[in-house]
Amino acid sequence: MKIITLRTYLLFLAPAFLLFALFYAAPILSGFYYGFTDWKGLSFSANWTGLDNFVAVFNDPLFTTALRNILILSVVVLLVQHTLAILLAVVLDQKLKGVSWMRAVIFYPAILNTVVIGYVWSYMYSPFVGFLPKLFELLGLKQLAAVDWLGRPDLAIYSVAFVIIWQYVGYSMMIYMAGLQSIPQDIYESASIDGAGSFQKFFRITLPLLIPSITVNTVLSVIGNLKQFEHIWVMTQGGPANSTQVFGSLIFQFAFRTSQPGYGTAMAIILSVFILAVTFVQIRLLSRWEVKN
Amino acid sequence: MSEKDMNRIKAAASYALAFCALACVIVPLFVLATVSLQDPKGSLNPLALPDVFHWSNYSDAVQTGNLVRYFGNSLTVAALTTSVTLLASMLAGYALRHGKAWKSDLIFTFFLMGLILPGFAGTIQSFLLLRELHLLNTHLGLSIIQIAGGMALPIFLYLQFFRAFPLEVEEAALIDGCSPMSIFWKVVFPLTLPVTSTCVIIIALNSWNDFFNPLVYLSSPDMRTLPTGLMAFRMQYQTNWQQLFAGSIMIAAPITLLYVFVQRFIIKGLVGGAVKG
Repeated sequence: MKIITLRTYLLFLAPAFLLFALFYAAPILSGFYYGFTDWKGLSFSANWTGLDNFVAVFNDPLFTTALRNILILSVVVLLVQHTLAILLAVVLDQKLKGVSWMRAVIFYPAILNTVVIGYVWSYMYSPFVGFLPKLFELLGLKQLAAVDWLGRPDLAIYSVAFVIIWQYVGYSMMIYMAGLQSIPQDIYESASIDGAGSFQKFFRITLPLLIPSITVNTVLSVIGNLKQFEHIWVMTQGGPANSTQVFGSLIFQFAFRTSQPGYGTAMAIILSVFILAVTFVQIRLLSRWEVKN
Repeated sequence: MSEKDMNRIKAAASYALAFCALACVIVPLFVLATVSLQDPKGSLNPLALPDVFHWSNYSDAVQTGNLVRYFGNSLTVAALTTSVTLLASMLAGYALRHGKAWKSDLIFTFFLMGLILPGFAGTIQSFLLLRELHLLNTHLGLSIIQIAGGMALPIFLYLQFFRAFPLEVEEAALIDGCSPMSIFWKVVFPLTLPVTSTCVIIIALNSWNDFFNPLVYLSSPDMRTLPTGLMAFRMQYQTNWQQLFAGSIMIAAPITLLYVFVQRFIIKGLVGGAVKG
C-alpha cells in the first residue's frame, strides 16, 4: 500500500532538493569543471586549460605543507583525543560524587564558538604576557617559558592540534559514554565470576564492544580535521611562514586574497576526492575489525 | 591486597584523573574570566583575580564592538536557518521514507554528500551565485547557504525516525480516508518532537557558531554576526586582551546560560546526532 502519491512525494522533496542542489551541490560539483580552467572568479565564464592547474598544484610546496598539516591534525587528534575520551568515558561512567557536573564541564567547550576558543588559546600561548609563559616562569622552568607556541613553525600545528583536542575531547567522551551504556551489565558480572580483573574486562569486553562507537567517532573526527579551517584561521591564519596552512585556509586565500580561484578550485577537488577516499577506506577497515571481534 | 583496597585505589585513581581533566578545562576558562576583569591599561596577571573588577571592559566592548547589533544579526540568521532547515528536512525525510518506487535511495545518497564534502570547496561559485541573485551581503543569502550546507544530517535523522515509525498506523489512517497531507500533519508530525528537538539544537548551534560563511558572504560591517564581529574587533584592538575577552564572554554567555539550564537536552541533542549519524 502506498502511503503517499507521486505528487505529494515531489511536493515534500522539492524545497530541500532545490536548496541543496542549487546552493550546495551545484557549486561544489561545478568545481570539477572550473578546476580545469583559467577561471578568474569574476563571472561564470572560463577557458579550458586542461590539467595545468593540477600540475601546478602538485608542484606547489604549499600543497605539500597543507597535506602534511591535515594529516598531522587528523592523526594526532585521532590518537590523543580518542584515547583520552575513551579513558574519561570509562572513568566518568562510574558512580562518582558529582559525576554528572564533571561530565557537563568537560563537554562544555564543544558548544563554544571557535573564535572565542581561538582567542583564549592565542592568549594562553602568547609570549611574555600569556598564561603559559607566566606559569612556566612561576614554576622556574625558564626554557619552557621562552617557547613561542604559535610562533615557531615547527611547533605551531601541534599547538593548534592541542586546542582542537581540548575543545572536543568532551564531545567524543559523551559519544563513547552512550556506547558504554549499551553494553549489558551481566557480561561484566559473569566475567567477574570467571575471575577477570579490571584490565581484562576493559580490553576483552569494553573495548571490543565499543567498536561501533569508535567507528562513528573516528570517521567524524577525521573528516572534520581534513576539512579544518576555523581554528587555523582564528589562531594563525596559516602562519608563521605558511607552516600551518591547511586546504581550508589555502582555498580561502586563493579565492579572496590572491584572485586565483581556478587554482583554488583545483585544490578543492583534490581535497574532496581525498576525503571521500579516506572515509571509504576508514569505514571498510573499521567494519572489518568489527566483524573479527 | 584485599578487594576493598583495590576498590579504594581504583576510586582514588578515577578521582585523580577526573580532577586533571576538569583542571585542564577550567583553567583557560578562568583565565578568560579574570583577564576580562583586569585594568585595560595595567599589566596582565592571568594567574589571579584582579583586586578591582573592571566591569567597564564589558560596556566598552559592547560599544566599540557594536555587539548589540551583531547579537540581533546572529539571532535573525539562526532563527531563519533553523526554521527553514527543520521544515525542509522533515518533509524531505518523510518523502524519502515512502518514495522507494521513485528512486528515493538514489536521492538520499545525493543528500549524503553534504555530510562528507567540505562546504568551502564551492565557495567562489556560491559567492557568484548569490551575487547574481542580489543576495550577497544579506542575511537571507547567508541563511540559504547555511540551510543548504546543513540539511544533510537533519534529513538523515528524520529518515531514521520515520523508518522506525510503525507503518500500520499510517495505513490505518489511509484506510479511514485520510489524504497523504493530513496523515503527515495530523498523525505523524505531532510525534516528531524528540527528533525535532535534536535537530533544532544541532542546526541552531551550528548557525550561531558559524564563522566561515559570514566571513565570506557578508562584507559590510553592519551586517556581521557575532563571530565575525569579534574577529573584526580584534583586528582593530590587537593587543587589548581585556576588552577582547569581555566581548568573548558576552558572545559565549547566551549559549552558556542555555547550557546551564538545559544541558542534558543539549548534550543529548548533539550526541544523539552523532550516534545515529
